[in-house]
Amino acid sequence: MEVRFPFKKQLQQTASILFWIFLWHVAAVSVNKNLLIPIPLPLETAVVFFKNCKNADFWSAVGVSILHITLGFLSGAVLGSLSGFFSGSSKFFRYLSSPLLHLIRSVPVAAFIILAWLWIPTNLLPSFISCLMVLPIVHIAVENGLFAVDPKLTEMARVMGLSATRTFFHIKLPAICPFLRIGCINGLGFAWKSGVAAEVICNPTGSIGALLSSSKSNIDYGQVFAVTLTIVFLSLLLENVIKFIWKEPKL
Amino acid sequence: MIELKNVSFSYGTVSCGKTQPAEKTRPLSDPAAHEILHGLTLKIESGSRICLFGPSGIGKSTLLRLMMGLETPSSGSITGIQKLKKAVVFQEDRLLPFATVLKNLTLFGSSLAAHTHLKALGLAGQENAFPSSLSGGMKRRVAIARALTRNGDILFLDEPFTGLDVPCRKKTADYILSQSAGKTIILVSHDKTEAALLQSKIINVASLNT
Repeated sequence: MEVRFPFKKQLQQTASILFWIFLWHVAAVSVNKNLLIPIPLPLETAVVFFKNCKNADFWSAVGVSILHITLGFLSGAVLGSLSGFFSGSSKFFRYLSSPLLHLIRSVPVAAFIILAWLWIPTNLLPSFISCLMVLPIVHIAVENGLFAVDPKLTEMARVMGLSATRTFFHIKLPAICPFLRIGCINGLGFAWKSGVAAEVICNPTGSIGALLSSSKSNIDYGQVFAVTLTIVFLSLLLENVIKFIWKEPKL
Repeated sequence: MIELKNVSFSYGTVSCGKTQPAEKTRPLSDPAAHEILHGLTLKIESGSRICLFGPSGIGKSTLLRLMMGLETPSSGSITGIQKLKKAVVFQEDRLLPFATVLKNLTLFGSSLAAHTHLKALGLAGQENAFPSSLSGGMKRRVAIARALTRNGDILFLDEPFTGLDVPCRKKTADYILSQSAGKTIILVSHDKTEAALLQSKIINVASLNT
């Protein structure tokens, strides 16, 4: 008989995290002997992190970055859904959008940040960059969702006189949704990475990225690690919020 | 009256799982273009019941697809069917996997009709079930109930009783007949007993090809 442990998955995840923290600790201890600027130990980072948590300015920076990235993510998801839908429905639009999407996917994010900084105000730049990174991911997800629509179902709908609108809502949209959900979850990770990178480079006032950048300039590596940890937590938190709100459909 | 005049149809190459009429892919003189129907002529009176009969591969389902407007004839014409309200039971159930049984029906007709047909076909209590939880026979009956809910002028039935046992076939056929008074029924089958169950006139598709 198979023995089932309660919280088996959670235990495995915790063990995995502890393993990597242990490795970090070992690396920090061994590397620090030869370096002028030490790698902060996990415990030191945790102390800085909790100190930050008591600071109102830190939470304000967290709020500003969440706003930047959420705004960018949402606009990227909406634009990507629309362009993906048109691309999946029309060959002309697919050929037209293909070079632009290829460009967005292949140009390094740092190059985009520097280019966009010439025209876009600093406070809007992180949102713009997040939007730009999310757009192709969601576009491809929606396009693939449309390709996955069962032609036998649309054929049946056609013969049985179902309107185009009802065919979209009852046949196409349910087929697109699982792809869109995965696209949004992946896109959110990219939105965080690129949005914070834009904040680090262009330093919009009172953001997490600006805090990260100033900590680096002040050679405060404890703070750099603590802020990075915060970014990871926030990214995971928002990803789980999406997963909680938008559950995988069970058929 | 539905009239098919000198209808021919050929399948060409197969690309990405979709067959294409031959004239779009290669000339009909090309020996590789596979002609299914040739110079077929048929008249179907409104309100009649016919069974397109013949062995597998003879072109029964293709003929049905032509009449439903899902394929275009390579030559010839089909008239008197375009404006009719069509209902269909395909060879496969073609149920929406992400919708409940009831939703699968109410998309095409009234909720009252849907409940009535489900009850009559022994599916009462399955309204909120998803197709994946149903047996093959139940899915088949849902597909039939959906076509009846549509309440069309013409009912296309492509091997509608596949997966149903003999008593169930009889009961289902009787119910289809009771709900289709005055409507045209076009059945496709390779089984004469199915034609008898639906009291339909047997037309051998092979004999229609000139």
